[in-house]
Amino acid sequence: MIDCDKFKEHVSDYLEKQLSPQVRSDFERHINQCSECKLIVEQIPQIKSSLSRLGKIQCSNDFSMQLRQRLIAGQQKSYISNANVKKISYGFSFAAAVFLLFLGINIFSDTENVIPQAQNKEINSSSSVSNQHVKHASVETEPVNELEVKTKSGENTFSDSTSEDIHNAKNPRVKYVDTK
Amino acid sequence: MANIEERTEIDSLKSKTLVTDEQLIAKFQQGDEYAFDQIVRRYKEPLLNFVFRFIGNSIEAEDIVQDTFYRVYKNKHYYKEVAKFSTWIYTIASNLSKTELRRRRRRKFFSIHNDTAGEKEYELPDNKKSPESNANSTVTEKIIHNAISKLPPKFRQVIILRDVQEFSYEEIASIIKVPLGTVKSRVNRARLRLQDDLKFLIQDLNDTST
Repeated sequence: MIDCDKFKEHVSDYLEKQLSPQVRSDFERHINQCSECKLIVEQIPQIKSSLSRLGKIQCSNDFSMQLRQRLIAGQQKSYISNANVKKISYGFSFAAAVFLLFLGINIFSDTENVIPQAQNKEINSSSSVSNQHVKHASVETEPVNELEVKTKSGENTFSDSTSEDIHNAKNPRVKYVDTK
Repeated sequence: MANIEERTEIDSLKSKTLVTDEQLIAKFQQGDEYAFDQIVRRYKEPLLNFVFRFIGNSIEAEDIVQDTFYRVYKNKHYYKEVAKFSTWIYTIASNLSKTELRRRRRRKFFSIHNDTAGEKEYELPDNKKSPESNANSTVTEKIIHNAISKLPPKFRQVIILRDVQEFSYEEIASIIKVPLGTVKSRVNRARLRLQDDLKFLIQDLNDTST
């Protein structure tokens, strides 16, 4: 047994005889019982034939001429765009040539400066030796004797010495000693 | 003598009609411009009517058809004989029509006034019949055309291809690039919507004819 929704879903299959005999007979049974679905089955073929008989419009008389013009215009446009592509590629190759030229000049000028650079290298190496001294220097803090710290009255005070220690710890007196 | 001339004319016509679309496009791909002219002659009217029913404006439809032929001309080498030529050219026309509809929607969205080309008055095909019958058929056509225009584009497209242009379901699936089952379902739903919209008109037509 089929309902209206199922019928509507397959009404074109029914009209185009795409259903199996069993399903088809079910559909026919439903049509005899349902006036709405019966109307659909009657009217769809009529609508279909009305659509196939709709008036045909004609192309304008100058259709072919306009098309020809469009084709010519399109060809010219593509020719112009090709020419533009050529121009751009020429521009790029010119720019590349200029760049290579500058690069070549730079390289050439660099080779001319090879000897002065070598001399510079020597100077640099001597200065680097002096730098090595600094590198190998170790940091040594000056020992502070607690007992030497005295107050103006000449008395050692524990509190003064501790404050001095703290000060020394914060600001160590540093001197560089060459280990070599 | 006249008979011989007539026969040769018929023979030449026959040979012309026997040339398939695929043979024509093959000739055109090899540089035969006359083959392209023949393709234009074969397809300009069917394409125009398809696009016209789809977008509803004859001037824009003609422009789209010209654009379709221009693209065929420009991209002739893209056609491969794995598909029918008719489905290829209809795919191009269909895509261009959909682009036009999208453009209209955008225009409508950004425009304050809603007087877009899609809502222009229906232009009547020039049927050479008696004035009275012409008036009746014109009104009927106008109502049917409006009913088609009211369908969503995806239903409109398939119903025109199936019931106006009489393509097979397989061909439509190939043109619009959707599965066969979807095409059948869309055609069915479009028919049901049209029936719902036109049932009183059909009843009137049946009453007047009886």
